[in-house]
Amino acid sequence: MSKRNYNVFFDLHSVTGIIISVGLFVIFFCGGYALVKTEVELWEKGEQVNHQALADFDFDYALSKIKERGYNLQDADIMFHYSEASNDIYCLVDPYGTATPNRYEDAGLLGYFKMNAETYEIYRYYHFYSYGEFIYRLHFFHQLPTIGIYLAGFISLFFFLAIISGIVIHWEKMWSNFFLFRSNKKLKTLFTDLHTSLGFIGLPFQLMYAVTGMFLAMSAFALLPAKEIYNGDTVKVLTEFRPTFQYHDLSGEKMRVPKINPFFQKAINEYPAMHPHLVWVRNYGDKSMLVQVDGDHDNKQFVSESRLIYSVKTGEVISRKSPDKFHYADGGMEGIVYKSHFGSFGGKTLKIVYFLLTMLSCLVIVSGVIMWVKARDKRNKTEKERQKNFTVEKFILSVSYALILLTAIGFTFTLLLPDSMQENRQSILYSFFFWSWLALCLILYFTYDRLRTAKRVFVLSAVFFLLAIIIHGFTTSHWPWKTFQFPDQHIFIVDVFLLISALICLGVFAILKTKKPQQN
Amino acid sequence: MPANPKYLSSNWQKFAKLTCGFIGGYMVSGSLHLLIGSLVAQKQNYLVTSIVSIYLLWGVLLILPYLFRNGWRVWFLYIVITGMNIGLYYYFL
Repeated sequence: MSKRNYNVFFDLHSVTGIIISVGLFVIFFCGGYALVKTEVELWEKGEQVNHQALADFDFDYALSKIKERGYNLQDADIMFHYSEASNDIYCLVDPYGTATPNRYEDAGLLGYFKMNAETYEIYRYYHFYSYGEFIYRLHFFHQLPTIGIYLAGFISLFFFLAIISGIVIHWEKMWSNFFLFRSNKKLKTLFTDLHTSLGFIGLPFQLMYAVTGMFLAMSAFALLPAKEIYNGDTVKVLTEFRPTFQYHDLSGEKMRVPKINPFFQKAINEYPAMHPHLVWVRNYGDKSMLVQVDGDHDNKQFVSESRLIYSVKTGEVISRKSPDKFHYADGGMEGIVYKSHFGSFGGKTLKIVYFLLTMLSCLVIVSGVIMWVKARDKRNKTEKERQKNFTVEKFILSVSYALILLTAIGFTFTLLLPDSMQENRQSILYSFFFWSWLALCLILYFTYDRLRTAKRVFVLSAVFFLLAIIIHGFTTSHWPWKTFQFPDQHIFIVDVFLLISALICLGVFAILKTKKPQQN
Repeated sequence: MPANPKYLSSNWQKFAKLTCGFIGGYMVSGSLHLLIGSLVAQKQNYLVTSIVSIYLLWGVLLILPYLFRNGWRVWFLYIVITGMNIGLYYYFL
C-alpha cells in the first residue's frame, strides 16, 4: 500500500470514527440490552410465560372478543402475531386489505393492539411501556421523531466506512498486532492494543451489523428503485418482498363463519415441531375466507419457515411452503438479515455471546476515542489545540458513561415504579431517562478526569446492575436460582445480562485501578 | 500517530469526496439496481437481493473517492455512470 493511501485511510478511519462514536456507542450499548427486549418486560412484570395458555389460544373466542369491542370484521383480515417471550399476542385488524386500519381508528378503535392469551383482554400497544421497549427504541433513536431512524441508518453507513478503512490500515500488521497486548505499559498502548485486537475479533460481527443495520433503518432507500421497477405499485413491492402479507381477492359473497380453531389444529398436526409465528384469518365472512398459519422450525436449518393456507370453505390446503427447503425469495433472505441482527437463531446461549460481542464493540469505540486524543496530545501541539481535543473526549465519554450508569439505574427505577403509575410509564420513563441523562452528562463533563471519572462510573454502574438483580429478587421473588429452574430461561437471562454487565464494569474498574494518574 | 497531513487533501477536496461518496454513491448504486432490476426476469429474487447489495455497493462507493486525488473527477465519473444507467434503463424500457 502506498504511503499516501495509508495516511488517507488512517485519517478517514479516525475522523469517521470520532464523528459517529457517540451515536454508535448508544446504538451498540442499547442494542445489547435490546436483544432481550421482551424478556425484560417479563422480568419487570414478574410474570412467567404461560405456555399452556399460548398453546391453547382460542381463536374463535378471541375473534368474538374483538367483535364485542365494536369491530365489524366482515371482509377484514385479522392477524395474530406471537411474540418470543410474552403472554400477549399482537393483533392487527385490517379492514380494507391495505394494512392501513384507519376506519377503526376513526371510530375510536385500534387497528393494532395486544391481546392477553390468558384473559383475552385487549390492550393498546403501549399499555405497559416496558423498559426493554424503551431501550430497544433508543437503540435506533426512535424517540427523535422521523429523523431518528435515518440517523441510525446513516451511522450504520459510516460505520461500514470505518470498518473497511480500519481493515485497510491494519491489513499488513493484522496478524502480528493481534497477539500484541501490552497491558502493563502506558494507558495509551493498552488502549491501542485493545482497539486493534478486539476490533479484529469483533470484525465479522460488526460488519454484519453495519449491513443489516443499514437495511433495517433505511429500507426506504432500497425500495426506491424497486418501486420504479414495479411501476410505483408499493403494495406489490411489499407483498413480493414479504409474501406472508399477500392479500387475497374477495368473492363478494357472504358465508357463515365456521370455527377457526380446527384449521390451526390441522396445521399443528401437520408440522408438530412448528412454533406458530403468525396466524392470519383473511377475508372474514366472505366465501374466499382463508386461514394462514406461518411457523418457525428452528431445529432444521438457519432459516426454515413454513406456511399453510387453508380455504375455509373447502377445508383444503391451497398453498404450502415447506420448512425442509430454503426459500430464498420467500422470506429466506430477510430471515437471514433478521436472525443475524436479532441473534434469534441459537437460543439464549447465543444471545449471551451476542451481548458479549456488543460490549466488546462498545469497548472498541471508547478505546478508539481515547487513542484519538492521546495520539494528538503531543508536545508540538499548542495548549489550545490540546484542550480542544480533550473537550471532544470529554463530550463523547461523558455522554457514553452517563448512558452506562443511567441504564444500570434504569433497571432498578423501573422495578420501583408503583403499580398506580403503570398507565403513564412511557412519559415517566421518558422524563426520567432524558432529564437524568442530560444532568449526568453535565456533571460528568464538568468534573471530567480521565481516570477518576471512569473509575467512579464503572464502580457505580456495577453496584446498580447488582442492585437491580437484588431488588428484582425482593419485589417479584424471582431470584436467579429460582428462575434458573423455570421451564424457559426468559427471566433468568435478564439477570445473566445484568450480572455480565456488572462483572464487565468491575473488570474495567479493576484494570483502571492499577493505573496511576501520571501514566494516563 | 495521527495521519501525516502532507498526504491529506484540502478541505474543499474533502467536501467533494464526502458528498461524492454519500450522494453520488447512492445515485450510482440506486440507478445500477434500477437497471439490473428492470432487465432480470426473476424480479422477486432481485428484490430480496437488492436489500443487501444496494447498501454494500453504496458503502464501497463511499470509500472509493478517497483513492483518487481529485474528488470532483470522481463526482463527474459517478454522474456519468448514473446517467448511463438511467439512459440504458429507459432504452430497454
